This record gives sequence, structure tokens and C-alpha cells, in this order.
Amino acid sequence: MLELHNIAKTYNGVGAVRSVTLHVTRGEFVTLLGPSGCGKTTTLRMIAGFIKPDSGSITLNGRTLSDVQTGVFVPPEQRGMGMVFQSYAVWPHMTVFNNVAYPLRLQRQPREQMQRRVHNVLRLVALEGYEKRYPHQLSGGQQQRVALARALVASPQVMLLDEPLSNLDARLRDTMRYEIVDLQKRLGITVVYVTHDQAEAMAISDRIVVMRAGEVLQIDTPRVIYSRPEQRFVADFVGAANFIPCTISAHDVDRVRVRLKTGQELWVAAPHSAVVGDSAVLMTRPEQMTVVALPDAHLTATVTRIAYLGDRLEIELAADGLKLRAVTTTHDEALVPGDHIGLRLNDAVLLPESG
Amino acid sequence: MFRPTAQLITLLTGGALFLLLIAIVAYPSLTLVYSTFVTDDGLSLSNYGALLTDADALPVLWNTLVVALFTTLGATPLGVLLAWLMERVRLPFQRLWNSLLIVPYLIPPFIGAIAWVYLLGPVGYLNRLWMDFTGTREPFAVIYGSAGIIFVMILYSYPIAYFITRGPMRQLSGALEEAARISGARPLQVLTQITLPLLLPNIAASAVLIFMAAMANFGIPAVIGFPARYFVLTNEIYQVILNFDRPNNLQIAAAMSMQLVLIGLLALLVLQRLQAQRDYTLVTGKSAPALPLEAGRWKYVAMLLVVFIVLVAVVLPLLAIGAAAITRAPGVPLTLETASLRHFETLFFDIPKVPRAFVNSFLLAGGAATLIAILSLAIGYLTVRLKMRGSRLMDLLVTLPYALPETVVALAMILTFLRPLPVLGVTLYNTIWILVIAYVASFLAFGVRSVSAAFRNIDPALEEAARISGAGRGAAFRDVTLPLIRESVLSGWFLAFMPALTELTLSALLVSVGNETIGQVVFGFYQEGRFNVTAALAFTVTVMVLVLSLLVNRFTRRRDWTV
Repeated sequence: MLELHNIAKTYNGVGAVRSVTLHVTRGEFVTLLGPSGCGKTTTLRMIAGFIKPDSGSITLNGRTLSDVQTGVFVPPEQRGMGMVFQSYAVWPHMTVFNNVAYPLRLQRQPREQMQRRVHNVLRLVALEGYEKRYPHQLSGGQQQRVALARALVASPQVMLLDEPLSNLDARLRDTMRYEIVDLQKRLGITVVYVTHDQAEAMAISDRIVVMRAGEVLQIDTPRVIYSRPEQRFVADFVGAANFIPCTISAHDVDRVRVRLKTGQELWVAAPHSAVVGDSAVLMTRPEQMTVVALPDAHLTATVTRIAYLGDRLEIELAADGLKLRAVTTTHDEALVPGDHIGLRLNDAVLLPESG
Repeated sequence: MFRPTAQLITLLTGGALFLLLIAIVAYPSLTLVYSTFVTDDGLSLSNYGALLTDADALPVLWNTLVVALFTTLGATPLGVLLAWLMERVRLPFQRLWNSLLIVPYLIPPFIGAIAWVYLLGPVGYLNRLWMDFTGTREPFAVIYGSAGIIFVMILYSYPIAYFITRGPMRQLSGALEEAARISGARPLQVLTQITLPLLLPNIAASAVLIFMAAMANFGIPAVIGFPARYFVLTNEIYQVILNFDRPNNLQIAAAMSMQLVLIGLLALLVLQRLQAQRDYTLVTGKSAPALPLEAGRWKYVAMLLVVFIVLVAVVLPLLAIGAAAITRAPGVPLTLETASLRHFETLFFDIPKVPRAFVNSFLLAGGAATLIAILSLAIGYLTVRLKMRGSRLMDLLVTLPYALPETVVALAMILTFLRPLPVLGVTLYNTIWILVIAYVASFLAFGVRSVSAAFRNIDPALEEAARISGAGRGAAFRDVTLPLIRESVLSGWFLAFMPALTELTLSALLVSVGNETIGQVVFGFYQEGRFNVTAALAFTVTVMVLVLSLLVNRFTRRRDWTV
């Protein structure tokens, strides 16, 4: 539905976005995730039409919005999208009603229809009765809803959200994020969402686009991004990760045997490209590291710190110059710092050494 | 369908603005500099030579620096002290004192000077009172001369420091001062060791602005210095310009004006350094403001000081002009029987140039302010919102005349527009248009500063939200940006209108018969020694200015849109 093909943008010789290709299907919730400066907002603003790409093309339902080769460039007002800005950008001189009605007014819709649609969308975001208020009379969360209503009122095919929750306090952020997803599913709208908050991205997205330094590293569902990251950066950015150096000692049809520094060997699921003798990195999530009796262990480590967090126990470990983190939900182990324990790596992922 | 692209429109508007700024700022400035080298024998340095051999030249420069320096040294601490008192000591009738303390800023300085001649001239009211009281024939003090100039300048320029430091003083986080108190500092130590050092960039900036204003002022030394044959650069240049018998008088005046240009540019440079520095101060809007001090007995001392300043800067001068305006003739004692309004009658019914001057000044100031508002809107949009290439140069062209004394601007205008315009063949000198140009050039910075600040305060996302809602560039500007900056455009209009309305310096040099302005007519009457008529007109102008300011305040009060 929304297709970005090799789009790029350079500022003063620095590539803010380098060749991003992305296909968003109808009704999908796609999140651009990455640290600040990764190009996610630039990409979103190219979709909106606020930034003209230096190369590549953008199409929506087969209609070309931007194509550097043919010189086609549709200005933002003709793209039929809705957008929610980080600063809300609710117009301070207009009432809630006028803010939300503005897109319809530009379409010169008849008054009655306009009122009905504004009313409907305000009910959707639970702002009924606030029509005559001015933005400065609203809380941050309410302003956020006004911005959302304004983005939705004209029934856009695509809604763009640029870190919409980053100005809200933590509790409100949690409720708003689910409200946004609920609305999106109910209306069947296509959403491109930008955030640097990985937990937010995991919670709401159908698919996540992980970006770094203007490049797309991986596009997949939250589940796959978390459990099968393709690069060290992705693993590290999305959730906590332990990285353990290893060398490849053998490979099978769809799995690889790796040798740890301790001499222990284990099988992991991995691509065929692995070459015997190469060094690589094993990634495991803290909750996939289990404490076992020494003979069964892949690794031995010394407990350096233990934090009791109620629902779980966080264990910091030192093993052979590595700092590791394990999380366990079973509290029966009577561990204390200084203990020498054995660790098993479950569901480990083999990653290239760099990146 | 062909539609001109946004870039094309930007390019054309930007180009037109540059052409205009070149025509009214850059070209006159270059003409001024060039003229300093023009002599009967071609280009040479002999105009500067005339300056060096002139026995008066050095003393006049010295006088200028002395007046500007002492005014700065007096007005800056006074303004800062008053700001501190109003912010940190809770006085009775706080709001009233605040309004009264800024009145001197609204009164045209040369009218303030005239008022003080009525008070402390050789036969001024205060001196007569003194002589009656003590029985001597010697006046208490005569205002004429350097001390009088400095005294009056301090009275009319302390509000600059008051304005500039009061806001930051209020926004200064209370916690910074409280931390000092809890560490054991007494209120006065907090002031000298915490508050003032934190505000140093603001205080320094106001000192530079006061210095610039004092150096550039023409009216006060013209009124008070002339009787004592005490000249500063602005007056001296004025004399040379009007001395048509002297060969090359304009070129020599231009050479003299270079002293003011250099000092002005230097001051501007320092000012911009200071403004850049101000961003680093710990002034935040979020934390709680400092609580007023429990001043105890000192409160009455503070009160006394404020009352004294209000008395000296506002009440006495207004009383003096008012009294002189209704006194039948000079020397006649003012009693209920001798009081009359006949001077006001004379003014508006017997002297045709007076009503004419009012019409002219309102049209000139209104026209110039309107042009300035439109230009400011375009300049603000191009430089702040679109960050057009050449924005810095445009800012420079807007700010340049602001650094130059109006005497110098007027001279540059004369030198540029004395001859017919190229191509058009029209001569602007001796027409009202040269004043329009001079006003726009001189007061443009006020409008641009107000409007640019407004643009800077508006999140670009507000306009983008309109674009994505379906509005084109024009509609987004019309529906979102314009309503949000309307108040600032209006206040920019007034910021240019008010000084232009009663301005003296430019019109003193550029006015022609039939195109008189208010300021120049008041000054003319004063020079002709028409004691009572001057007072009646000065009183009318002062009341008019105060009423207008009150109205402006009413109408431009910002709505609370802060999100």
C-alpha cells in the first residue's frame, strides 16, 4: 500500500537517510525504531512530504507521491494523510472543535456533515463536551487526543505519528499507547509510527523497522526482532542482551556448532553462511540464561550482584572478563555475591562479530 | 496548470527585500563613507584633515564620551536598583509605582530637557523658589552644561536598564537565592554575590544600550548644551550640516560622523556578544520565583527613593510644563487669576503649521509603521521560518541603522537623496518622502525584532500540522501563523509608531516647509524663545503620548495562549 523505494536524504554531505526501502500493507501498524539521529523522523517527514528525498520514490496505493527520477513531488496538503506531532502542534488560537474541524473545512465539507464527523471523532478519543475549550485549558493528555482526533477526522489512508507520547508522563503514556492501537485496529487505518522507546515499539507494532545511522537494519515483527535479531545492535537496542564470543566449529543443515572460550560446545540455530573457524558472537537474553549444576553448564561465572525486584531476581555475573546478566523468576536459589555458578544458554542466537 | 513554485516566490520576495534594504540602508551608508573623501580637488583625506586641525574637534569628541559615560554610570545602577526594589521588596501601591517608573521612557527626551529648563533654568521654578526662600539672588543650580545634560539623560534612560533587568530578575529561579540564604548570606549579600553576578550579561547589555542612546541623543544636548555653548558630536554635526557657507560642509560633517559610526558599531558588536552570552545564564521559567524580602525599616528607605525618582523624572517636569503652558506670559506669576488657556488656542488656531505638524507626524509615523510591519512580516518569515540564504546579511542591514545615531542617518539620507535619483530623475530631498525613508530605515529594527521573536516562538510543527491537514503554504500561513503572530505585528507597529510620532533628530535635518513634524515644531518654538507656546505644545504632546501608550497597553495585551 505505502511503498518506499530506496529513498535517501543527505544534509551537508552527511547521509541522514541512506536508501530506505519499506512496504507497508493496508491496516498495518509499522514502527520506525532507533536512537536519535538514526533517520527515523527524517524518513517519516519524507513520507509526509515535509522533506524532499534526494533519491528514490514513494507511492501510496499506486499513486506516486514522490519520485526523484520523474521529478514528481506531491506537497503534504495533497497527500491525504493524518499526522500527530511530537509537540502535538494543536493550534493554540483555535478551540478543540476548530482544531479538529480544520481538515474538513479545507475540504469545504457541508456544515452538518462536518459537525457530525468532528463529534464522532471526538467521541472516539473521549473528548466529548470539550468542543469549546482552548488548548491551554486542556491537560497534556487531552491535547494529545485533540491532535489524534485532528489526524483521524478526515479518514486518512495513512496516519503518521512522530514520537507522540514522548511528552506525556509514564502512566499516561501506557494508556495512550493502547488507545492508539485500539483506534487503529477499529478503524483499520495504516499507521507509520516513530519512536526511540523499544518497549513502546514492541507493545504496539505489527512490524518494527530498526534503524541506525540512516540505514534499516531489520524489519520484522516484534517477536522476531526480539528473539532472532540479525545484528548485534538490534539485539542490544531491543531488550537486554548478553554477548559471548565464540568460534564456529562445525555446521549442519540448519544449525551450527559453536565453541566457547571455555571449550564448551553447543548447537545453535543459524544461517548456512557460517564458515568453520570464523569467530562470531552468541547472544542470549537474560531470561534465557539458567543457573544449572556445574557439570551441565556451558559457562561458569561468579555472582557479583543480586537485585530482588519482587517478580524476578536480577543477577549480575562475571565470567572470564565478560559481564553477564541473568534474570530468573524462581526465587528458591539461595544465591549470594561471590557464588560460583554454572550457566546454560537457551535459545542463543549466532550473530556476526561486528555491527 | 502552472503554479509558481514556493521557491520562486521566496526568491522573488527575498530579492525585492534585499533591493529595498540596499536602497535605503546599504547605499546611503556607502554614500556617507564615500562622501567623507569627496573634496573640490577629487578624492582626498582633506575632510579628515579639517577635522584634525579643527580646534573644536577633540573637545567635542571628549564631551560626547564624557556625557555618554557618566550617563551610563548613573542610569545603569539606578535602573537595576529600581528593578530589584520592585521585584524583591514589596512596596505599597507596587503597580502604580511600576507604571510611573516607566513614564520617562515614553516622554520624548528633548521635551524632558525643555521641562528641566523650566525647572532649573536661570529663572526656572525651582531656582526662583530657592531664591525666594533664601533671599539670595543666586540660582540654586543652572541646568545648562554638561552636568545638566548628564542629569537629564540619566532621568530619561534609566528605564532601559529597568526594562532589561526586571524580567530576568523575576524569572531567576528563587532556589538560587534561597540556596545562598540557607548558606548564610544576608539579603544584601545575596544581591551582590548571587543575583547581580547572574544578571551581569543583562546589566552589561543595558549599559551598552544606555551608552549608545546617550551618545546618539541630539535633543537633550541641543536644548541644554547650546545655551552654555557645550557641544557633543550630534549637535556639532547638526551645526556643520546647516552651515551652508562653509565649503564642503556636508562632506566634513560626514567625516565627523565617522566617529559616531565607529563607536556605534563597536557598541553593537559588544551588544551582540552579550546577547549571545545571555543564553548561558541560569534563567529558567519553570522554577518558583523568589519571594519578596521582609525589608522592615528599609522598606521606607526604598519607598523614599522610588517616590523621589518619580517626583524628579515625572511629576516635577510635567508640573513645570503644565504651569508654563497656562501662565499668561513669561515672568507673570501663576495664580488662579493669571492662569489661561490662550496659548493652547494660539497653538491650534493661530499658527497653521501646528495642526499641520500633527497631521504630518501621524501620517508619517503611521505610514512608516505600516510599511515596517509589512516588511517585518516578510523578513521574519524569510529569515526565521524559511532560514533563507542571506538571512544573516539581511539581519545586518536591518540592525545597522539601529547602531547609528539618527543624526548620522539623516546626514546619509541628505547625501544620498540631495541629487536626483538615477533613472527616475526625481529628487527626494525637500519632500516628505525622504522622511518616510529615514523613518523606515531607522525604526525597522523595532518591528523586525518584535515579529522575528514571534516567529521564533512558534513551533514550525503548527504550520506543518495545517499542511498535512490539507492546507497549502498560503492557507497554512493565513490560518495558523498569522493569527498567532498578529499581536506581535501590532506591537511591532506601535514600537515603530511611537518613537516616530514625536521624533526630533531626523526631522530637524530633513523637514521641509509644509512638511513639519511635531518634534521639529516644538524644537523650533523653543529655539525661537517662545516660552509659553513651547510649553503648551510640549504639554499637549506629552499628554498625547501618555494616553496613546495607555491605549496601546490595553490593546496589545497578549492573550494567554501558552500551551
